[in-house]
Amino acid sequence: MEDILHKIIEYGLNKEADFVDIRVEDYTLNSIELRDGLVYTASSDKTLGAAVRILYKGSLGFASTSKVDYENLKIAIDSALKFAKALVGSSRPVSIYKVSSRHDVVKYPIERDPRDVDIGVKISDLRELHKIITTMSSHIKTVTLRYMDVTGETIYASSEGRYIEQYSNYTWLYLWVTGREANVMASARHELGTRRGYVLYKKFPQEQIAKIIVNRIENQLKAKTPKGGMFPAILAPEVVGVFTHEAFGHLAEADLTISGSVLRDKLGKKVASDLVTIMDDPTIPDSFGMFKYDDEGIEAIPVTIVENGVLKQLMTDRVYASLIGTKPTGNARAEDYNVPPLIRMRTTYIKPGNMSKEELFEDIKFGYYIVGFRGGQANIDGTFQVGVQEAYEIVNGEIGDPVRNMSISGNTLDTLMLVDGIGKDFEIGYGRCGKGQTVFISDGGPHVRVKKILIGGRL
Amino acid sequence: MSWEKLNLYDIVILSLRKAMNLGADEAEAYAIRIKDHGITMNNNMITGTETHYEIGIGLRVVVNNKVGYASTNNLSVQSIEKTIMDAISIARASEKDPYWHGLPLPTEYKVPENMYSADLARVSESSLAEKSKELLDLITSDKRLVVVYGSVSASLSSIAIANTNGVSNIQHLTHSIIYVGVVANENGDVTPVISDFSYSRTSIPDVESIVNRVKDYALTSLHPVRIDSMKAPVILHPNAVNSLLRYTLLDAIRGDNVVRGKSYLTGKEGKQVFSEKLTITDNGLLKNGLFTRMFDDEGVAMKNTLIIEKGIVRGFIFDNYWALRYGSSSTGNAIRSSYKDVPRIAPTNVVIKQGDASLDEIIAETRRGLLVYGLQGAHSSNPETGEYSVVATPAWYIENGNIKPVRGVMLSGNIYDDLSKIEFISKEYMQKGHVVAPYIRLEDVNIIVKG
Repeated sequence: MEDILHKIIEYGLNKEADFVDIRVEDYTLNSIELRDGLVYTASSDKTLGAAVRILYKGSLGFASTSKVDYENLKIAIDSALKFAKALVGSSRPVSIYKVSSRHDVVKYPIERDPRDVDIGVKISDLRELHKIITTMSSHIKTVTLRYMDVTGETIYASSEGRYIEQYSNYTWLYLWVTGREANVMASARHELGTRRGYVLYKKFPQEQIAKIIVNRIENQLKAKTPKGGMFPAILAPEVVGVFTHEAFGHLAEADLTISGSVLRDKLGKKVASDLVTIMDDPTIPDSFGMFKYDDEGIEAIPVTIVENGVLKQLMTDRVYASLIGTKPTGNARAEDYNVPPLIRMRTTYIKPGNMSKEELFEDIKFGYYIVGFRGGQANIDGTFQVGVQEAYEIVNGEIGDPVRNMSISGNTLDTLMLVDGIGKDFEIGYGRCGKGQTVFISDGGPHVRVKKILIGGRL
Repeated sequence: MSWEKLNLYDIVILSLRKAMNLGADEAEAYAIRIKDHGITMNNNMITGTETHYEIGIGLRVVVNNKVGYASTNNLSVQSIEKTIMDAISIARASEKDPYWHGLPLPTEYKVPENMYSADLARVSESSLAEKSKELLDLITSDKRLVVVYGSVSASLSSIAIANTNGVSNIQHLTHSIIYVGVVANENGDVTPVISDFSYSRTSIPDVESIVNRVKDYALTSLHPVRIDSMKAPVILHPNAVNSLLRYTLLDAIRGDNVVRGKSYLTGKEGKQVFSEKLTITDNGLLKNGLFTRMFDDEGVAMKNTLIIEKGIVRGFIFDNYWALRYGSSSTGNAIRSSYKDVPRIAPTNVVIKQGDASLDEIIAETRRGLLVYGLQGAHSSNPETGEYSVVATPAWYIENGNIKPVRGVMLSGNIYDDLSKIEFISKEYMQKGHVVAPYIRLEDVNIIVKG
């Protein structure tokens, strides 16, 4: 393979390209969906494909092919080049940050290769989880369990003489459960993962997973709608994670920052309370955001986005690093070989502080404890919304009654300025992020207290 | 023998034969080839071109009433054989589903208008390039506007399907999409990103009309005013109607959710659930519809299905499996997100019947309320209950005929309750995503503003 890729790069360079790179993906994907205890789907997929990029006179072309041989890669180079040529001179030129040559093979530790586990075993483990959930509460109405493992290899080669092979696994589990009691309906979701193969239930025992989701259902069934307005709040790690990723992280992706996100022109300036340090880190073991090289063959390094409240660094890829005159941080990720990499997060979190949970709660007369989210979204003007599926009132420093159909919103920077307490605990979660393409990400942090936040509820 | 040179239709037929020879009791082969060309823009510049050639085949096999699925993007005879054997061994290792009653039977196909254009299938790189330049030039000629992201793309896909009940066909589909997100900046005020898209099944869409729309939304969003929290009517733009319904009502009309008791509409067949003003169909044959085609992803003919008639629940959307579980027949709503996935129930073009008022008349009828173009966080709504709690952005405050922009406004309520008391539906309509929607005014929504 290495020989073929070198020849193809040579072929591109001979056509006056300034830069050529190739990404080859070869992986197996297994997935199972259990609906109400019945196997709804059981499937397996094998994919081998390649993507080429070619930079020609400031115009960047991309083409993908599912046939990874010399002839077809040549065709891909020709199509990418033809399209790139049609755009030469039509806007400001694109350039690519170049790095030195490098040869590396990276194998991430996999405890149990999911490709060697019989599908019957995976089905009966899901069935067991289903059984535990449905016996734990008589209010459970439907249970959807989606399991997926993706295992394989990516190869990156570039005209700089880079050749990098990486072998890895993502194993993922998603639960969606609904419940009903009399006329009240409830619905809860949860997501888990590991990079170490078929060890999900070793890491998260089925009993423990079931408790989380059943507890959410039971709470919603007896919950009331929260009051709308500004209230103090404590965000649990799962919500801190989604807030840090959705409400803040996207604003610090260089492509969105320079397009006018609220962080534009704010490097070196204060954007959060002194207590807040925000990282996007590719080194957290067993997280969905862990890798040594990104999909542009760049060494992935931790990015300290905010340090003690001050905006320090943006997340970049080769194109934006070059555009803003900095180094690429290894944030370029592509969903698969069919699409070019974009600037994406890895494991994004707020660094723990030094307060205990009790200290965080004790001063709050009335507020909300926000534990689990349903989804979150932000606009680059800094308006965010996080839908909540598990939350409680806080009354005189104690956790009170559960609330339902709540969401939190506000301006991200205003909200970060209002952070007045950071816990010393730390937890990360597993999820997927969509930015046109979907990739696996992790996020998290400690418990975080906010002086006030806008709660969407009743009037 | 090499199958590489064969067309997709022949490949699915030969794959079926192989599956039967290898031990399947029933089988279905689905193959797709996509050719996609696009230009991407960011931050007022063209950042790249993309050419995708995707091909893949998915095999669904049944052994002893147990179903297995496997797929690959390598369409050589050896690879397809291996994939069939994978599907068969998955089926053997899987469990019996008492509700499995076989693959679909043949249906009669109608060919809808404008699902394919030979010109669009052959569109050149340079015509896409010209449209992209035109888009950038038209927007950036106003110095207050920035193109945050944008794309101009054209796509051709061919889908072949065959099963052992005698279903077999191939269809060719084209579409072209322009997508753009802009912000406006003026005297230190920055608007949220305002995004819009237009599509056509037969040519590259007109650039000027989408540019005029986003310009108008962005510039009128500058310099917001402050309002207080209130309960008031909210007029949703078709774009906001799509966002809100996509994560609520569009889940509730899915036959699988209805059968599982996971839908708000379970057990409500024939009942008056929504306002008499509301009539909704799912029309997979809609002329010029974005999701219009001849057959769905298990080979069943597309059709026009009545869902809500004057507020009364009349039907749901089904694939073959859930239709048989429910005791009816497939409505042609089996859709695959990719050849890697089994078919799942999804809407095609959901048409909300237009009303008789114009948008201007509805605004005039709204003494005090909001006009909302986009909703942020609609995906966090609760499809089972209809509860939503979202940010309206961009949005405008209407008071006695004056319209002024507002920001940071949250809306909360229950969409199913809201749909039961609709007073106004506009005659203007457009397709946004899966929904062909008019403007709809919801009554008494909680409008929450930080105080």
